[in-house]
Amino acid sequence: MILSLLACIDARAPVAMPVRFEGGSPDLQLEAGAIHLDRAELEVADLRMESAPVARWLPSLVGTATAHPGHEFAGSVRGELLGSWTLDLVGPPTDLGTAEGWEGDVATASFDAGTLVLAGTWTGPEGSIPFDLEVEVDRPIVGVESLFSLDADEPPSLSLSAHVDHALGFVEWAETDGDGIVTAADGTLRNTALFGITSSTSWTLAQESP
Amino acid sequence: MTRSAPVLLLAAGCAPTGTWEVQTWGEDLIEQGIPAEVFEDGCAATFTVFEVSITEASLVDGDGSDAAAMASPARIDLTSPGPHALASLEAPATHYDTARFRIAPDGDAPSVRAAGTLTCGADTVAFDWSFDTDTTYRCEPEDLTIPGGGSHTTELTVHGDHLFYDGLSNPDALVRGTALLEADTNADGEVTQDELAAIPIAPLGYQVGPYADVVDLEAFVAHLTQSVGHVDGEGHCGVDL
Repeated sequence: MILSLLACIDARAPVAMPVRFEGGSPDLQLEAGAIHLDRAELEVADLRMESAPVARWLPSLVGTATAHPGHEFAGSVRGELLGSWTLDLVGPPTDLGTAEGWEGDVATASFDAGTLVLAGTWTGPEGSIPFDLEVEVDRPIVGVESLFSLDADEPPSLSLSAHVDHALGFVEWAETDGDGIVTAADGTLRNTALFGITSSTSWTLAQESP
Repeated sequence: MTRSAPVLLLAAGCAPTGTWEVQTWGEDLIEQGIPAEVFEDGCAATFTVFEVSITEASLVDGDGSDAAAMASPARIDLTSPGPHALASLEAPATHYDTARFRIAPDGDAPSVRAAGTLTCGADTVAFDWSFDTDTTYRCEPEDLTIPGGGSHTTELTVHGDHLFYDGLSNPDALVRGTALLEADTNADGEVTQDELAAIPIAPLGYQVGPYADVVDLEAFVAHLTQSVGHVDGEGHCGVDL
């Protein structure tokens, strides 16, 4: 039994796969208005891919957790790309490097997030107003949908995508201090931008089409 | 062969058993209330009702099979002094890794109902919330050994303060009340679940981690009801969400 298990581990072949980042358009049309982004950057580090968590009694759609905040059981790490980058969320595709992993199915991805910079113009029913935000995220972005398999014979090319329109759909663009620009000092820009950019559904890691 | 069969039957018939005592308790935080020092923002809460529907309590053997299971669901108001006995079950005397509990709707009864008052500064609101979340807790107590001829007690401990956490997955989540109190948008002195559902999470600075579908305060508190179960005090249990 032990030998059989070791044989299974030995048979799991390493996989190396290129990863690139794809941002979005600087011009976004949302339900409540339009956004033009002059600048949208996020510092990120250490991309990890995880297998689905093992659930012993019940099927799990999101994952297995311990009944206490901060004790989620993600699946085991299936691959990783260590390093740090500043992602231009509205720039051209960027190569991030070559991730290393092991054969098998991937379910989710996670990475650390640092400083978020957003600058541009919001146009809503009441007119246009500029915004400028720099905020420390300092929390991991977890549970990013990553449904693909790592196959040593056909290593995939991976694409990390930011859905900026989804992320900024949470933002409230209220200018409250009368200085004519929406900043972290206004209303809820900071909290809503943080919520949007760290939402797991604002990101996907996918296998690129051949 | 002809001699060993009776011996085996005899051995099986005499396998030692013991008693698995199962109880639940809401501790002081539910019985007495949550004092201001527990809240990051100085609020305080008391419960007049904290009912849980415990629909399963099982002792699980190494094969994943139930060695003993509670016969019928129990609905317990944890504001009354506990611990509350749930079952006294005969089980093979041995060591076990896992106890399984399920807090789920039972007929018309919700899985969790919490009613009481929340006070922040000079303002107090009442609440009476019912949730239909269905949560199975897989708990691994430190030492779960049923002694032959003796008994061992396992407690499903319910943490009422979890309903007030400001995060669903971050380990630095804090107990806060202000956002819940301010959800009383019609200022009638009671925060309803409809009022909670009208409050978006994003502006609050609360964190949902991987649970991106949780976007309003009612869904947030409902999710937190799936974190109230612990074992033997502070022991953590796994859940599938």
